Amino acid sequence: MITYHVTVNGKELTVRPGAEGSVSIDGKERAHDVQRISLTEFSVMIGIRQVRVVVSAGEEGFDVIAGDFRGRVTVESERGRLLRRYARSTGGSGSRLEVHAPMPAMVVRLEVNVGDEVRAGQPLIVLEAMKMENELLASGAGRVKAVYATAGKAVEKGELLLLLE
Amino acid sequence: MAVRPIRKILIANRGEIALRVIRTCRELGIRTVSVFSAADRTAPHVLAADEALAIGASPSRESYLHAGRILGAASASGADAIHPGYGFLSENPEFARSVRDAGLVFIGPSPESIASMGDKTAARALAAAAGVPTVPGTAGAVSGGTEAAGFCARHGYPVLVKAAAGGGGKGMRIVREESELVPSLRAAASEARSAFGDERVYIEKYFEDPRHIEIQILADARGNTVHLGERECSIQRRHQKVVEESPSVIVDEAMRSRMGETAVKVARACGYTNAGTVEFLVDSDRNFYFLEMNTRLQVEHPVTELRTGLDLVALQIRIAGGADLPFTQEGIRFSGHAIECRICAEDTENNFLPSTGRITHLRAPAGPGIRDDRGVAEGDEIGVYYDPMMAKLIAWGGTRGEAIARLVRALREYEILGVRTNIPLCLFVLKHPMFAAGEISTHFISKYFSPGTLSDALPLEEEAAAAVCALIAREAEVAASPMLPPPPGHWRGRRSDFFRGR
Repeated sequence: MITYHVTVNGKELTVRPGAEGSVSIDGKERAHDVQRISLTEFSVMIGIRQVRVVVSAGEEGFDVIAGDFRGRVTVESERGRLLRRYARSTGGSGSRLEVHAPMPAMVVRLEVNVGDEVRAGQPLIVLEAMKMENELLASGAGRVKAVYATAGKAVEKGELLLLLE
Repeated sequence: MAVRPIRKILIANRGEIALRVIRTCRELGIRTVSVFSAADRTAPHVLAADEALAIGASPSRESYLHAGRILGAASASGADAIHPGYGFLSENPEFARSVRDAGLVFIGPSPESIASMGDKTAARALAAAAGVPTVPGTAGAVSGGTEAAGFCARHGYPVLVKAAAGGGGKGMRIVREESELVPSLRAAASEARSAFGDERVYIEKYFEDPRHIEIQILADARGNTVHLGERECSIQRRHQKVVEESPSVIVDEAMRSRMGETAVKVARACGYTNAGTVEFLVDSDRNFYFLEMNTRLQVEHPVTELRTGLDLVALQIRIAGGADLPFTQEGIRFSGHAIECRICAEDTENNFLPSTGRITHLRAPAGPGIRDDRGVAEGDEIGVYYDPMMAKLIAWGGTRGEAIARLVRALREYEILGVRTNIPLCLFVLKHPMFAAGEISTHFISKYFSPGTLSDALPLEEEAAAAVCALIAREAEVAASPMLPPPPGHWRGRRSDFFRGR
């Protein structure tokens, strides 16, 4: 049986899909009779209650509407988590200190230089897309290790812009 | 002006406003021509029009901002009028002039009126000369730090730096102390140059908790000018309107008449014809000051339509064809309360970054008092080329409370997946007790909103979401690795392949 770590609304749940559309959550048999209504629409029974769930898979997880819940749900398998921990402990990539372009955009200006100390929430770089300027903010404190972006140049979605340490 | 039959209209725009214009044309028996860029090859406004002509590559300046190609499409299709919508070329006096010179009807004001209101400093001077109160500001564009500092020394901080050619909040900066002045002037000028190709900026006194209230006007070629009441658009994020409503909770009958008469005065001062909007800043003592005039149909015009029962696009076409307004000021009746939300492809949880991608699921709301003016459909790609607004959701109710309740209900029904939306922000505003109390200003969102305040979800709903996502993840894992045996009948349903079907 595959175990998943599912993050929903800031909470992490341990989820094990079983047979016949039943799913255990945090060790308890919770969801059952999961039915697919259309490509994106599902109906789930939790006890005697029905919940409608609409899901779309994106690059950063699932985009979900379930009753009044609207948001992103991320799913990581037990095996994936172990691999990621191993990669981190051996200095591999995939750390949160890389700043990537969230969308195709134009680099308007850089707010930091190599060697600058930054605090969480500090603007790092300004991108322009959809006629609007958007600031990318530091997710945590650190020091700017490298800058790959150049003002005035276009960047692709996912392109590495800066490295913090 | 002679009454001139308009039989075919080219809409020089895209998205919801193009569809909005097409709908009225259909009702009037007028044929419609859409134009489109490469990115919009199968967009709803292209599929809906009677005719649709390709005008160029995806970047706006090679298509929707390319006057020559739009005029070429008008000539090729035999259109006798052009509706510019909002944005793009709608407030470009050269475009309006070249439409007229091509022997076509421009559905909007004269190029002269557009030009006189397009330069924001000239517009303010014109309004002041007509006896209309204006926000204290520099008489013209400021050339350097010394002149700017002089104004600030006289009127005190905070001040607002604005683009002379501006609109939509671009090239705008608040300056709270002298040390920020020169860097802000420079940043505003740079943003203004990239947005409008004009780096001139001017300075205005800045009010701490102002409201933004605007008056819709209509004027025919015979000089009949009326106002259609106010719209309060104080709920903004980074100077972009998010929620608009009418009536404003602070405007009573006397204030409405005063503001309306002032707006009519501004329109007359620039010889205005067609639909336009006069924007005012209102301070905490309910004094109002002229800000600018938008010489086009506004995004939020449906708020006024629901409250007056009028079709502003139909009236625009009628006026452009040379006919008189079919009513006087006394004939305009207001009823109930209307509120609009702008639904944009922005990630509410992630600093409102624009969200791009394909709309994989879309279900629109319906029911009593709800109007959904939308420019996108399921399967559409939201790209980086154009504005992130996908739809406007407007509710009408007999009272403000009923309109809010209907809009909240409809926002909860609205389902868009594949791109992130600002629906959580709209819900946050409409459900906020200060909004319910009418205690709003242009700083409402920056004052109260943080992404942590968003969710009303039940644990049950979170569990159901987690269960479905885990099942889909397992299906993907099984599909990707043929070594794993397929799980025994783990789903029930009519269609089984989430991944193969995409």
